[in-house]
Amino acid sequence: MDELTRLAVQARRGEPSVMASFIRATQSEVYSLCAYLVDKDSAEDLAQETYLRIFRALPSFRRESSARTWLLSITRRVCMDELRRRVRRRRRETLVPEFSAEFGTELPGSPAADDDQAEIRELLTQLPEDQRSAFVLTQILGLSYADAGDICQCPPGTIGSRVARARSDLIQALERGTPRRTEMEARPDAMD
Amino acid sequence: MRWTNRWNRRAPNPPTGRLAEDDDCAAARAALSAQVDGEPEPAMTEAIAEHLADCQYCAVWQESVHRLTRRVRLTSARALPDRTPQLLAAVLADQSGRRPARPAYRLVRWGLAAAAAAQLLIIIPALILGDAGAGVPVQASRELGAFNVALAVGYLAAALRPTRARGALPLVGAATGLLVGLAIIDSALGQTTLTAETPHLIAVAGWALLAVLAKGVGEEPPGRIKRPRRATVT
Repeated sequence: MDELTRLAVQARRGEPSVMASFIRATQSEVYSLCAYLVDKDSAEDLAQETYLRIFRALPSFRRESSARTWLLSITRRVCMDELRRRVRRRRRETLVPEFSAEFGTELPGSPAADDDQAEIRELLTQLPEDQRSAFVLTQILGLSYADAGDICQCPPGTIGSRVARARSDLIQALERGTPRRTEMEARPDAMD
Repeated sequence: MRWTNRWNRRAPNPPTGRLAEDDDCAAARAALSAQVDGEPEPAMTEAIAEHLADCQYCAVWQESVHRLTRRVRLTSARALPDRTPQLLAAVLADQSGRRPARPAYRLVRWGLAAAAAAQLLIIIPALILGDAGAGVPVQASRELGAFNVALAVGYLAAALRPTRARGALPLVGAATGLLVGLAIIDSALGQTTLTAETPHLIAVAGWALLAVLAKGVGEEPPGRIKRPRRATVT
């Protein structure tokens, strides 16, 4: 059993200091996942919602599974719920146009990329949800395909092909606007 | 330049990140992608290696993936402020707001589970052996059995997750209402006796418990009877 799983099992007893250690050990991954899957502005609220759900579900946590993948799959579920809520809300707003102004700013493509991280995050929001989850879990949180598969409830091979497709799409998006010829000329070794 | 000809042959438009991907390319890129991540699957086979040696598009793709990966890994590390105190406070407030389920409420759920068990026990001869009593044909016995098992499953499902009670109520209500009504009429006409119809009391009890549960669910977040299943959250 890894350290985090031990902490999770101990935290079931409701001792605040142990609960605090568990939160401290996991908060940055939970926050990052929320920020990358949904957006940075909602990440704090989503992280809090995630911890409420985690501690409600803790009594049914089985010590055989890894606490890290367990809590990340709850985090992902919280994010998916939020994204679904937004889709519903947006659909309503298309019917009632006067309320749509508020959300115009978070549509893909509009926010200014003020730093590198924001640019990657922005590009990720344009990926289909399954690719985004696979990419964020493996590339940003550094999980194995197997663990990411546990979280997304799909085989590791599916994670692999989603990551590959996400990479293709991100490359395409990043290099859009860059003249391709320059790219090729700068890389004579790539010729056959 | 040879590569220009290749572009022209295979991709008339200026190539982008996907670079005129065909099935071979997709397989090769999945393998490349896994290799970058140090994953064994999908594996780099000989056929894929040959494709990579030959395909200009995939060579460019590979370069781009390395750049993308470096970039993502460089940007993703960022220290965040410690929010443990706020998060812990929120969790503790949430938990103190969730009272443990009332004992009476728990009793109703166990009662419902017991009604389900009793119903199942009684009906097994009819369902499996096709023997619902003297003079009842096998086919009718089995239908009777299936119907009663369905009722029992309904009780059990509501006992495990009380939010289902409300949905099961009309169906169970109709079934038990008819059973009881017809039993009374039949015994009044002398076609049966009330004693012979006593097993229906289980169905009635189940329906009553279900009604209590359906009423209670609206007022209180249900506690859960532990189920032998993967940890899930609602």
